[in-house]
Amino acid sequence: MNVKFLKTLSKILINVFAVLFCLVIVGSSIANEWEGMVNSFLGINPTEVKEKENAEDVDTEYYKSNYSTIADLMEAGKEICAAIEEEGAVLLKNENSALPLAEGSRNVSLFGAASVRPVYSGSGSGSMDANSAATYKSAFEFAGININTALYNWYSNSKYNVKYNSGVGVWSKINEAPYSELPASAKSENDYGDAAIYIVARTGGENIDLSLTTKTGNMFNSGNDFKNGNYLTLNNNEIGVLKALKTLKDNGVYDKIIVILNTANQVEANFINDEEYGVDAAMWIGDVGTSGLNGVAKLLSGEVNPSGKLSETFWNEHRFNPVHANFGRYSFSSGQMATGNSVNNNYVVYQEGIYVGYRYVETRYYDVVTERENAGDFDYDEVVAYPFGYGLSYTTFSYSDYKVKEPAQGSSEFTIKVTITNTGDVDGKEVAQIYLQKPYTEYDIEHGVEKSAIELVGYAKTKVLKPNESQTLTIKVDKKYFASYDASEGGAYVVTPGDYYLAIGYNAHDALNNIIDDNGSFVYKTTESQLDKTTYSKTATNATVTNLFDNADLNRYSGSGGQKINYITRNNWQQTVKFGMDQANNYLGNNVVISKTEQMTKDMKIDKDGLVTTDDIEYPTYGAEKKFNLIDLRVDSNGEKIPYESEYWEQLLDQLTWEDTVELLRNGLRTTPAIQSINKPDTKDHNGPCGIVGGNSYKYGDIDNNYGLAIDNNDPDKNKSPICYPCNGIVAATFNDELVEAMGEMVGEDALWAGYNGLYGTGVNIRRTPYQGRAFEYYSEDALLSGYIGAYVCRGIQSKGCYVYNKHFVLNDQETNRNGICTWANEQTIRENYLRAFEIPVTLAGACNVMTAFNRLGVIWSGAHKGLCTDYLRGEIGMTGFAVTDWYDNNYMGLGCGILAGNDLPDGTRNASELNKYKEGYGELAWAMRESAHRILYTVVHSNAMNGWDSNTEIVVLTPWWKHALTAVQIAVGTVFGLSVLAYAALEVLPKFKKV
Amino acid sequence: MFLSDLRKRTLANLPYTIIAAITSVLAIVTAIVYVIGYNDSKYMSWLAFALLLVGAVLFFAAYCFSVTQKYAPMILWGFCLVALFAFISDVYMYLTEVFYNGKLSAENFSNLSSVFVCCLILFLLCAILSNVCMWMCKEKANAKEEIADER
Repeated sequence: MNVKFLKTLSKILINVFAVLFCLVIVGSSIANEWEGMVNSFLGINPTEVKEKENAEDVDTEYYKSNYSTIADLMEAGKEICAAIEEEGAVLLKNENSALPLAEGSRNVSLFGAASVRPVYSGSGSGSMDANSAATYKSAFEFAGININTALYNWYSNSKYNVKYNSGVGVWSKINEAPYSELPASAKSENDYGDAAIYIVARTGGENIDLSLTTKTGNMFNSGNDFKNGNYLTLNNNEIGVLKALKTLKDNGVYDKIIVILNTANQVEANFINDEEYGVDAAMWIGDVGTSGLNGVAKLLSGEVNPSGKLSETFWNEHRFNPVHANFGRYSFSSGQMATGNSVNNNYVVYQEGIYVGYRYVETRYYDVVTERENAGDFDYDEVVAYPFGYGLSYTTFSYSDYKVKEPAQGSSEFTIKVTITNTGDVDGKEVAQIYLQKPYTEYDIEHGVEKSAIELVGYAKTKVLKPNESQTLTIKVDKKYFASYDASEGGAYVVTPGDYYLAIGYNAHDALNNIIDDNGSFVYKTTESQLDKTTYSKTATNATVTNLFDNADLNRYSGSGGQKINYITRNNWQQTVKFGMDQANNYLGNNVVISKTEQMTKDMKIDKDGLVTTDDIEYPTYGAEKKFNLIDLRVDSNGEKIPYESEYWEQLLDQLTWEDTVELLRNGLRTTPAIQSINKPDTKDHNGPCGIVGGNSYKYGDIDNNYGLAIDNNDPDKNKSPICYPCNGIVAATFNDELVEAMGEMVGEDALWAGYNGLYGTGVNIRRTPYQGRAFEYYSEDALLSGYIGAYVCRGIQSKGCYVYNKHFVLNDQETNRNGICTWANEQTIRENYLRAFEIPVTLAGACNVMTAFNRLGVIWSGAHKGLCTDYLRGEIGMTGFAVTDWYDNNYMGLGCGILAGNDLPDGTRNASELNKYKEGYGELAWAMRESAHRILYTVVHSNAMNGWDSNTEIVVLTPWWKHALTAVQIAVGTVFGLSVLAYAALEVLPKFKKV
Repeated sequence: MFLSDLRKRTLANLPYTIIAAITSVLAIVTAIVYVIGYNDSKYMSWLAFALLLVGAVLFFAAYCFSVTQKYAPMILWGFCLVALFAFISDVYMYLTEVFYNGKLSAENFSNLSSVFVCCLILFLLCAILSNVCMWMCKEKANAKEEIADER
């Protein structure tokens, strides 16, 4: 071989192997970072479980399934899913008895492209496998409703049948067929004229909010077909079809027009009562999940009577909602619409304070009616289409014997009884809603405390009542809701002197009117004679309540540079209420403008490692002699749970080495790792607010480990996807604690079968606006309803040993700029409107965990906010489980500072060096790390992860084969690359030596 | 003397010089576009940014001297290649967000930001063109050596 050939060959090798070498290095780094996911993808269990020889055969199935096959499980899940829709769908309008469809009048025509592409769920963490879901056609036909198949087929075959992610992705276009293109057969007399059912659909999802106006639109600004950039109003094609249907109805082609709102994001509802459209009946069904359409069909046919009540206010037009003045992209630099996706430069202000949804419209209505000064112009009927708690039935109900019993000595609960009678002709269920009105006093005005004219404090639902049947419901209302948070003078929950009203009503507006009308039959008045700052100064955990969020309220934050937020106050609606868009959907630019001060910039750095400082504190004990395996700390010899504070836990934690602790706290990517020294198994978490779902790819049998029943039983249906439940707005609209607990239990069952030990969900953020991308994940605009429904769902899930991470903790109420966005709100708002939804699942249902949010409170990332993650979460409400970050973002999140503040785990895998650097001289952090390990271990030992484990079970941690393979490839590629370089250098140099 | 030597060497392999000059300028442009698009973003790799600039500067420096001239494209390629992978290493998380559902669908592709697409193309172009330069330069150098050997 000549030199030229060898040189060329070595050059080619250098080229090829240089690229390969880079690829292998970067690829290995990424693979190691995602170790858990790679193992999961390859079906590798990095641990081996062994039973000691001669071990006794004991029952170690601590959490048992009620089902023996996936087929049975799915059948039950589908029934619950349909039941949620049956009880959660809200009948908004029903004129001329348009519904239910009478027998013999069930030949209907389905209009709207969504009739062939229903919205089943949101995108992102809620996306589901729509392939086996019920369709409008299948559901309606099963319920005996005959549909116009020619029209259905036309939609199916048309260009408007665009399925995004099997019908569950965010739509870049509404993509509705114009009336002109519809088949002629649907425009003239046909056999399916009993009703024209028009389906209005919208979807939303993770990482993107919906577009309000052409300027604020964050999604698909170019090429969309929204009317004036507003995604949540009817577009021209929808308007065209609806108007044409009205004409057809007038001409006798169709008997009635029924509108179905197939969306979790509330579409402007003004058209429902606009005579131009002639809508006879309307029903909100939300996102329907796997089999929710079966429930919808039963509601339309009258087999089931609607009993859902709105979990949010339905606005005629969203421009009336003052939240929209401060929702979207705002950057510190300009104070206006930002274009970048910076993690350090964006903010949002909750200027509306506590006045979200019904708290705004009802309070303003009350102040206008009672002629309060500065109430301003407010036309309730123009603003509100349907109030919070509203929902019709095919029957009627009357309330009687409304009695309120004051709390007994030593108790803080009012006992309220009411008798509900079905006064109509058909069976039905009714919800009793109890609302509280607190006095808005001079004290409140002076101290900046806001009071809603009405707030939900309790509810209960009847059984199915037959005509003339009655049921007396008992509802407990905690008197603590009489108190409001006063952030002045250090902060306290305060009960001010004055009259308090506990009122019942068919909805929030009705209850308020009962108070206004002084309707003694439905209103109970009690009077507080003096200012009380002490009764609620301590929580049930005996923690003293003080301000924890001064740094999230610009008016109290020391680094504000004198900037102030003019919060909305009912003392002066006229001057403080601003709106975000005008009638033509032009963006008004009424947002609060904030400049970033030097102190803000400085405080932002706390997020990373600024909180972690050296100290002289002695480190905890590591690597003590082995006394316990993790399973030994599950229950004592009497079968009683070993408490969190037990000395045994200290002894177990002493056994952990530093390396064990680091390993446990750096790997949180939907997992906790196995720890050999205490025989802790690895765990798997799933991400999903509406069940164990996640697109087509999620199957029962995906997790090939020792715990999933689908794999263990080698079930023939292990390749099927678990059930997706309706959006949480519909779940909340059931107002049925038992039903939602049953749904939670089914999610827990799915987790048992799929092999998951934890669930990233449920979503208890507040539906601050319908434009929130993730509105489908959240229960309500009301914190109490969100909290109670969330608690019962949580209780159901955790009953199967699957621990719940309620998310996203806290004030993560928009997707736009969610990474690092600085959220400004006052303490009363944070506590009463947002934290309450997280508090109730912990205190009522023992919710284990939370997921901290992407956003910042003020300028401090939520996971590094000690007031939030430690003082509130553990101190005030007593959560014993652990906190995981949302998707770990190294740009502003920090492992050490998170642990120190009470955020225990990253939703990611971090390098051990990020914690090993604290091995000496950081005693406070070391103790915090130990506490984080404690929380994780305590949660895991009480989960289904311990199914199959006893004292005789041991694990061996294995290095997965792919890690060995990657090392081998790195060495091989690196060697060839090095040899090629050497060969080339030699060939360059040697000829010159020869010449010499 | 230095300038006339530089001129002579430049004219001796003009196509290579033009492409190499374009590539090194492109590296600087890429660095600027990248820093504008990703400044203050979680996907910004300052290593990639620095490698592009340093690579371009070193290329010009090495090109000026006859002893190091033939190593100039090699340096540029090395830096551009590592910069490309540094960029990928930091930006891949963005792709996990866009393709969160694991689907390479048209809808997901349409959600890719133009800044990302632009940067990716520029980084790739830098790596490819610098490699082409290396081959062009070497071929010319080899040809000269071969002629000299034959003589």
